[in-house]
Amino acid sequence: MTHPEDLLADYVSGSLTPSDRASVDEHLAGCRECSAEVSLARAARSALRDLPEIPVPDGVSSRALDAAGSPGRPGRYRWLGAGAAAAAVALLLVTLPHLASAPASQDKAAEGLAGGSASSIAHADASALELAVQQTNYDQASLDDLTNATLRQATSSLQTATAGLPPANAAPNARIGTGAELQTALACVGKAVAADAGPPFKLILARFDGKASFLAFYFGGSGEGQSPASLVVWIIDGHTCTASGLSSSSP
Amino acid sequence: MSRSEPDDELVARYQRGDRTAFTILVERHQTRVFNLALRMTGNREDAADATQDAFIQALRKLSGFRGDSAFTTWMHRVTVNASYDILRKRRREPMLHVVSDDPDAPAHEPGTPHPDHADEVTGSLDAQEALRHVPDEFRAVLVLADVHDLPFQEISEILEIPVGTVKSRAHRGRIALAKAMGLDPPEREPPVQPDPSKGTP
Repeated sequence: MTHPEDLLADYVSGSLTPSDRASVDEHLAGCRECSAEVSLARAARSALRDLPEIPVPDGVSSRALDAAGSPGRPGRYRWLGAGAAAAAVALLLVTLPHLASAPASQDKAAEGLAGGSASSIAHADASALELAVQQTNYDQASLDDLTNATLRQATSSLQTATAGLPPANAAPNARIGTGAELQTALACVGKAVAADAGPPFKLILARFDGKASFLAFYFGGSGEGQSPASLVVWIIDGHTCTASGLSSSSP
Repeated sequence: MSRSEPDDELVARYQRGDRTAFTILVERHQTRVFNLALRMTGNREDAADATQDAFIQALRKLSGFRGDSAFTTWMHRVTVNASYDILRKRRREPMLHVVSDDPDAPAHEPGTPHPDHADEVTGSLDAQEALRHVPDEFRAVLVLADVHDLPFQEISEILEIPVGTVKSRAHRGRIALAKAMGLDPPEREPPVQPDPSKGTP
């Protein structure tokens, strides 16, 4: 006897055509093995369909919503007051060696920085923020590592109030961008992230998967003076000024 | 902005830079995502982690989402994969016990390998607990087919496996689940035949 095994799942789900259903019915009438299987399968399907829908716990999606910078959600920057933000920036910003000249291999995104115009969003924290121009080519794993390390540093520095952080994120062959470069970078970031997000607390120009990209670091958070609840790093295409991905970390 | 706006329009709006569109997508799908993760992982804490990871992954990839499949199909795939990741992570933590929502349920050690074949599962458990005794690949099909009531063709697209494999896993998985729940009828003892060699006492 040939068992219609390929039809039994659809039979139990009720998704067979009438003719196939009639064919299976006919088989089941004479096959105890298939008939027993169908009974079990029906009982299982019925038990699964009876499982209740469980309400989503509060806050489950908040990290993603924070990352998206949606209006009405806690600001990614405002968890720190302005003074604390400046201090955090001083502690957290990548310590980079100043190079005598701009790296030769930066592509158009870097070239475009030199003559860039100031952005309307960039003034508030321009005095505290620097643009780190790195030769590093990040991928998702290495950027995730940097994100995790940065959050650890932020949490640790706020908890211990130690003065200064080791330059753990310093990258070789890096330099601090000029003021004009920073303004242009912030204009590009401002196009990519939500308008109410404000400037990032840390900004890097590097490559991500080979493409010149800005890496804009934002905290998501709890409240002023408290450790950040999460850190989100937006990857922003240096040519199009659109977000192409992100990295995130939570304690 | 309309809350009934189709998913693909919200995705397009997000890709044009409107971040509020993502909020609507999350609010619209988070119950389904959380419940899928809950049935896949078997406990609320892991389901919450998987849900969070799924939406972060979605946010990461949404800029490049081309609409080759429906957003819901894609989001289901992201959620199943996030759940698999959590399950793999838990199995690398053999000292940790996954605690069921049911305080009376026996603790399950993630380091204990599940049976390779759905046919080997037997027992008497409720449906949620029994799901955890079904191999992951079968469980994903069962949850999508019978909890979320999705057609096999869509499950095939979500899991990126042939539809024939989906149907086979659905059927074998259902039987395994029923056996884990103790729903299979006890096999009848064969009738005792008189032994002619022994004669009559």
